[in-house]
Amino acid sequence: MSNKKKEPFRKTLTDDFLNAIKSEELLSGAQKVVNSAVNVLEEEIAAGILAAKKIEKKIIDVEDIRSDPDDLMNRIRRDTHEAVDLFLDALSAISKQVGNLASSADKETNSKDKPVSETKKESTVTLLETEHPLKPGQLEVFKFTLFEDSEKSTRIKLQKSHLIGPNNRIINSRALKVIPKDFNLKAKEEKEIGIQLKLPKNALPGNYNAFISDANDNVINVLLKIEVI
Amino acid sequence: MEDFFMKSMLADYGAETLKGIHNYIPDKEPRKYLYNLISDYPNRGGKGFRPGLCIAACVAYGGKKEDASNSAICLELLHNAFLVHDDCEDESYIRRGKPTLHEMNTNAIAINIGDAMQALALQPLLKNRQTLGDKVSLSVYSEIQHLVLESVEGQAMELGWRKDNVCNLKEKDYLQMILKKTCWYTCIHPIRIGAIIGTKGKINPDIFNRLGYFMGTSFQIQDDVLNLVANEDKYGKEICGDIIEGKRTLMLIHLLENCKASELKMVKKFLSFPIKERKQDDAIHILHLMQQYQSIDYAKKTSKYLAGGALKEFYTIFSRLPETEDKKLIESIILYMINRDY
Repeated sequence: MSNKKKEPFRKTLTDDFLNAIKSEELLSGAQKVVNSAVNVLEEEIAAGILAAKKIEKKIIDVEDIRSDPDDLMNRIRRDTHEAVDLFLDALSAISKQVGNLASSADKETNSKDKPVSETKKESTVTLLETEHPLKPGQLEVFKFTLFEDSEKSTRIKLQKSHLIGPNNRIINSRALKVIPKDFNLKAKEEKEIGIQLKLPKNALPGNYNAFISDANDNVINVLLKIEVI
Repeated sequence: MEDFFMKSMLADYGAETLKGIHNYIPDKEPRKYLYNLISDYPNRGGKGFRPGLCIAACVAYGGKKEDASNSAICLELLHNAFLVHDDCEDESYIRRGKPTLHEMNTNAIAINIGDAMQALALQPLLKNRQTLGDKVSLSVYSEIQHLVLESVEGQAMELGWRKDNVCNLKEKDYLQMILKKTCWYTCIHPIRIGAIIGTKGKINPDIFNRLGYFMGTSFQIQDDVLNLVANEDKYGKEICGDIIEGKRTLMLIHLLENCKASELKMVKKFLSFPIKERKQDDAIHILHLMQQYQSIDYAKKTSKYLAGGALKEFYTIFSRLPETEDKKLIESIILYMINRDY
């Protein structure tokens, strides 16, 4: 069968199909189904990556690592070094982000004629980062756990900032997907939250930070720190 | 004419794969209740989608079809192993126009044959090392491991729904289940594996996930529709068998979401009985309800939309590749789904 013969086939059937879905109603139906499918696929892939990471962590051979003291010391030195670097980087980023948040909260509170201290609660910042730099287009999943230690249920609505990089470079927050985003955390309940990052293919190199927080409260503060190469 | 082109190419690849399967079956005892029965399902002839997609993707990406043959054999053996086990789990009577393996023998013998097929499916993967090298072989091995895990997870979801008689499922639940149960092993991984082999491991196989997912879901919905509307001899399985088995198809989910409370109660009650106690008349009544509530039309439409999504993905990924018969084969399969008139 030659290509010449096949060409009209593709054109005719494809055209028929496209003609069949011309009406707006059908198009929106198709889009709904396809979008719904895409969401399911992405969530499943993220869940798979999370599970694989958990297994990887479980099967690190601790005894094997301990059996070589030099290697172990090198690892500790390297990890400590990285931890200090990360801590310093994180501290400056956190100060900047918290400063931004505080000033915006300040503005909002002032506009309602309420003192800042009334709405503020004691908060901590959790740092999430990757073990290795990421490449543009790469998919990465982060996770953290929330625990409601009070005796009442709390409604949590997680919001995300853009990823802010060097020279105010921005990776749009669309690259981040928080799962679940809006939920009730019952008393004494623990819930695992996943953050899926799909870096755009045109992401420029540098260190980027994003902030995940609860829209209803300021107790949950998660700083996401990544390096794009 | 073009359906003929697609079917004849799939048949060619399927025949080569079947020959390969025979080569991997040990010529020794016990024959009667094991080795002689391993080729029973493969010999009955299937559509050959999995080996076809794997070999076609390999060739479309510049590889030789021989390079993908061991992986195609593994895929087809696993597929048939799943079918043997599925038929036991679903208590099905007919497979490809003949009694199912467990009906011809016993459940225990059929399960054992399925186990043996899974073990034999590993052999061609080891053989891959000689032709593809360690790196690519290991990638293919990882793909297969993921494929098996996802498939059993999907099966567990559906079997669990049936055991607990879950009747409040949504379309999203169905899409998730079918991704796991069907899509990874029917379309996503065969294409990924073929492309990995064709490019000698230089491709990012994630680019095929959507294509394979849309294709697989569209294919599965069409297969489920055929179970309700096809001619039994032509289809090769018992008509309305899925309703009797309580399979959570898109049509059933749509019906449960849209029917009246009294009808919902009736369907729930029907599904609460053990399979062997469900009556054919009740299944026919449920089929009529599906027609009344346009559940079958809804599923047909959804399937076409997803096939349309697959076609778009196909053109995005494959249009830069040279025009080859193998590239054409993948496109033909999608177009066949779009134009299927049942």
